[in-house]
Amino acid sequence: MSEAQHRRIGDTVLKVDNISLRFGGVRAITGVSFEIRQGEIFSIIGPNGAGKTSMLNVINGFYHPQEGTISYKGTVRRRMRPHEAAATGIARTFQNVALFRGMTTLDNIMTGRLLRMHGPAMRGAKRLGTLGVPFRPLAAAIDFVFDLAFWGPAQHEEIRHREVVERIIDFLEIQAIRKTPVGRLPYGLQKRVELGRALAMEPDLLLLDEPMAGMNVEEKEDMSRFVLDVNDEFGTTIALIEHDMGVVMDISDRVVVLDYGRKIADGKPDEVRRNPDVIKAYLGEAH
Amino acid sequence: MLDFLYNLVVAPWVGMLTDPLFLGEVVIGGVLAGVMYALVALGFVLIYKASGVFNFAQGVMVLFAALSLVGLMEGVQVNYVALVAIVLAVTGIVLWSGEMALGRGIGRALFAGGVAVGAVKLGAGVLLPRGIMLGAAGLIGAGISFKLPLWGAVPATILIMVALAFVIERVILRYMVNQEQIILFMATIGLTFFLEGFGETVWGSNVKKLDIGIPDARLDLSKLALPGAAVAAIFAAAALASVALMFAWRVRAVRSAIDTSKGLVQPPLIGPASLFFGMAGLACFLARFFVAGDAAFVKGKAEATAMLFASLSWFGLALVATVALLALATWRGRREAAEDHGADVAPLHYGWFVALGVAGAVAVAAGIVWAVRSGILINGFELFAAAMAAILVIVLAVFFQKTRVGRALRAVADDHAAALSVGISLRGIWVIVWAVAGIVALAAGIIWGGKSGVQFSLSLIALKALPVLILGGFTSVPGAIIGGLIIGVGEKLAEVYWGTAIGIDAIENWFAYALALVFLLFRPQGLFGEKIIERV
Repeated sequence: MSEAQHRRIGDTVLKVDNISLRFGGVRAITGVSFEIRQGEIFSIIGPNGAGKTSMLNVINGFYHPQEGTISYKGTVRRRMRPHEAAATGIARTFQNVALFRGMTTLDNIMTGRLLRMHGPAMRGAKRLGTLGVPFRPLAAAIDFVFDLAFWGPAQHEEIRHREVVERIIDFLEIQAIRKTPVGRLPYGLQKRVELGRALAMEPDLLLLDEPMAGMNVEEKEDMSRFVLDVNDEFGTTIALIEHDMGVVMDISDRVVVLDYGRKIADGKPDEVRRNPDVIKAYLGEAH
Repeated sequence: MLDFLYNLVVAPWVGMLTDPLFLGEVVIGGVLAGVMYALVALGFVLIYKASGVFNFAQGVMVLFAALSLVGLMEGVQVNYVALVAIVLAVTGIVLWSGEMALGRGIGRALFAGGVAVGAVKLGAGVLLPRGIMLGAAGLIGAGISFKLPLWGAVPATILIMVALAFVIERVILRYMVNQEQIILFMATIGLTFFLEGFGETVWGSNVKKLDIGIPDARLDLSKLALPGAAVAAIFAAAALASVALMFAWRVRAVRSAIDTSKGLVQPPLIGPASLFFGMAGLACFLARFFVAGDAAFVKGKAEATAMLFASLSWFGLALVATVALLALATWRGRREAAEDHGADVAPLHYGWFVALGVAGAVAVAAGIVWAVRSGILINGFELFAAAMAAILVIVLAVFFQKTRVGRALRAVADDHAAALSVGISLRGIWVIVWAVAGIVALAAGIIWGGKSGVQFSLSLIALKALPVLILGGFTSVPGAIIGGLIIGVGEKLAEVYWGTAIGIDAIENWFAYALALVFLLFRPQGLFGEKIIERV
């Protein structure tokens, strides 16, 4: 790890404290704690069924843990639903690509801008600081009329966000499939589009659920490069889950290892690699 | 036997030919009826697309909307206390659905207050038996009585349908997240019975007349004050526009097919189907010259048979023109794609199809102008209905394709989890979808109620929408429209021509269902639906 990388890593963004998650009698996660710091690439690894995806779903608000707290940007987060988590700047991708199959690549990535697209009335209301109950729906209704007419401010807004999306498309090198319905794309490209949609949200914390699963070596290298570039160019904090240890060790600043829902190691890749518990979890008992 | 075959295969066509003006009237009547079916089907499609729920209550929503509209127009007497209770409860629910913590708290309080006031009122009504919530003038204090004109009643009913959407989300859908489809379906059945009872309790169950000021009578277009040339120009323009639309649609389809395959796989210029239809058309056209004169294959019906072949030749020409148009569009799409992809797409030259395509369009336009000038009769009310439906469809299309909310709706339709992860609130979307479906139900209610009166049987038109959905596919807005048109035109033609020829009555009543059955056997996803793939 270079000196430069050390400097850009800042304070804790997200602190997971003693989280336990049960589904009926099944313990998916038991008393796991860790911290994700500003600007780092943080990985959660572990064998199948270790609770990695459950952990991501907890951070993202899909699951609600029975015990423990999550502090995000310095405050303890209340019970939160996924779209609220998105509004606070958490974006994610899914293990089994979850794209909007009927839409084009461009439209898919544009959905990532939905939270940031506002009509003139809503922007005005925000500027005045009056987002109280009666104003919000009213502003939304006014903007809706603008939207229907697709005129003036609405069109301007669309173009502004389209520019951001086009930059992301360039960055991910998917110009050629801009207008293609994503359902027809090969798996590797779908994963890239999904990353694009998450990036369009300009997230503070980007969660990647097995971004390299099911890819060939070349696609894995491409994806690793994109993850590093995103982190480097936009300074985005990235938390990723991987099954495959090799790639993760190369690109991560810090690694947490889960096994049967418990944390068995936490540290820099080199330390984790040498940890006897980790070796045991991955390779089984020595004979 | 031969006579029966003649009646089945030949006589209807002869009937159409001997009086083409009447045929035109039948077809237009069918189109207009089809538009009205499509309007009901549209409500189903909207909700099915966005939430995967087959909304059994759509028919009753039509009834409820129409009842509310008529009720408001006939005059309402509301007790002040009941009014306060309703306003409090509904405002409460609307606020409660919001995202703001403060708003939710206030909403809950308002809702509780409304329910409390309503309970007191109801309790008093039961103890001192004098009227219910809405009804005869007040129990506690006086009431207000008002009557709205049509232009005031429509927006008021829209507000009622929007409030209904909020209530449905708050009371039913919220607890149904992540449930099986069948559970949601059952919930909408429950909603059906509730809405039906509620609507008739509030507004009364007697048959009501809805007068929207447009007479259900035939218009004689030849009496239009417009000069002949203007009429001709209008219809010619309409015909050309529809041809141009078809052309543009095909060009886009070809382009996107090539873009998708990055130009490597080339779509055929004319698919096997087009080729078949083109050849069949040509054969029909040529058959006239070889057979028509002496082809009296049914004894004593030589004249009729000759006429049939004459008509076949025109039918053939129309087919050739259509195929030519498609071929031309394909060529154009390939050229556009070739500009983007370079040499990947080989250019093809089929310029001579242009002449045929234009000729076909001009022929259609000329036919329409002729029909108008020779005094074709069109039902004014149905024309109004069709215009209203067309406007509604255009607004919905813009809404779905161009607005932020529309994009969010499409996202939710495709993948719930992914939609949540980009910050779309499912609940908000559901409210919007049910509100839009309510407004579409109102449009259908106005049209059907205006035609046949507002009564319970209005909710049964949902049954007619089912075959339309099976034909068009449950997930396609254009499918709902085209399915409606096919069924509308098909049943009218079957009734008028085949019904009298074979001697079977009331084909109109079962034709749609028979057609739907055929579709279920051979193309269960419908014309435009997504292919149903079950993964195990």
